[in-house]
Amino acid sequence: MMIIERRTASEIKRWLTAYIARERNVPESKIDPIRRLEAYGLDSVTVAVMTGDLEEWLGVSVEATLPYKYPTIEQLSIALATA
Amino acid sequence: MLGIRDRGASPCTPDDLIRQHYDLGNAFFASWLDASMCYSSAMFEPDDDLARAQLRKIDYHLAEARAAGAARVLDVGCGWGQLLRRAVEAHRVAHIVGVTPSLNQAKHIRDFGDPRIEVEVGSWYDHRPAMPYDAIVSIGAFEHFARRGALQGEKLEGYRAFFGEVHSWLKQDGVFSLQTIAYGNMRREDQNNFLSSQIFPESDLPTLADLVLSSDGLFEVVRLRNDRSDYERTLIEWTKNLRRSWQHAVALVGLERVKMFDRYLRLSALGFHTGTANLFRVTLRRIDRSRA
Repeated sequence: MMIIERRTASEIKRWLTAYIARERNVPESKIDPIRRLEAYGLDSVTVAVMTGDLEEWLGVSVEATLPYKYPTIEQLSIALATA
Repeated sequence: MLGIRDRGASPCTPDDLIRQHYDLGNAFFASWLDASMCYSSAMFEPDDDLARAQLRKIDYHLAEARAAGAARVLDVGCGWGQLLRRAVEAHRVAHIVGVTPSLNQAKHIRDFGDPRIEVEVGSWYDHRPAMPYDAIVSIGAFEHFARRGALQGEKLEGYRAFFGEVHSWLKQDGVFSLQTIAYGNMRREDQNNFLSSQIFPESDLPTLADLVLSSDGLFEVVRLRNDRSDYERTLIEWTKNLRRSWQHAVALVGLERVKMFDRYLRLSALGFHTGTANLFRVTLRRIDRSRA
C-alpha cells in the first residue's frame, strides 16, 4: 500500500512556481505567487496537463478547472493543502 | 449494411475511425465511465451522483421525444445501449432500434438478449427503416457527422442530409431529441484545433447556427438548452474515475493512451467551463408541411 504524504501549501507553491517557470522558460524569481495565472499566458492545454501532473504528484484529485476557482499560485496552493 | 447510395460518399467521419475509438475495448471504458457505460454528458441535479445524472439525461430525452408507450423508437448512436434498455424497461417502449458503428458496442447490446431491442451496425447514412418511428433520440453522435476540414457549405449539406433523413423516418408530428457538443465562444480559425488531440482526429463540431440552418424548414425547435456545466461536471467525474482505476486502465491500453485520455478529459472540462464548447439539448418537432 502506498502511503501518500500530505504536502504543505509552501511545498505546493514551490512545485507550481517551478512548473510555470519551466513552462514559460523564465527564472523562478519572475513568477509572482499572487499574480493571476492567466497573466502568464498559460493556455488550456498547459492547464490540463499541469493539473494532471499536479494530481499525480500530490496523490489527491485536482480538478482541471481548479485554477479558475483559485486563480493564483498562492490561492491554489492553500486550497490544495487544506482540501 | 453496405447500402449503395446514388448521392455520393457519406459526409460523416469514416466509420472505421469512430470504430477505432470505441473499440479500444469495453473494459477500458468501463474503468472510468459509470456502470451504465454512458459516454456523453449526464444531466445533474445538485445531489446527483454520476449514475443518477446519466439516468436523468436518458429519461429527459425519452420524455422530450414523447417515447413513453411508443411502438417504435430509434436511437442514432446508441453507444452501449443504456437508453435502449431504459426505454423498454421503464418507458413501455415496445420496440427500439439502436444504430452504432462499433462492433464492440453492438455485441454488448446483443448480449442483453432482449427481443424488444434491435441493434444495427453502421451509420445513420445507411439506415433504412421498414416502418416510420414514433420518436427518435440521438445523444453524442452528431459530433461525428462532419469531417474535419470540410468546407462550411459541405458541412451544412451533410447536417441537412441527416435532418432530412430523420424527418423522413419520423411519423407525422414526431419529435426528435438531440444532444450534441457544439463550438462556443471561439474564433472560427481555432475551431478545427479544438479536438485536434489524437482522440477524434477526423471529426468536426457544429455551431448553434449550423444546427438552426440545417434543420430549418424540416423541424420546429420546441426547446433548446445549453447545459455546458453538466458536461464540465461529467468530465470531472470521469477524470476522477480514471485516476482511481489508473493502474487497471494502464494494464488494458498502456500508459501513453491513458495519459492521452486524461489530458483529453481535462481539456474538454476546461472547454465547457470557459464556454469555448457548449452542450446543446434540442427538442425538434417534425414540420409536416413546408412553408407556402
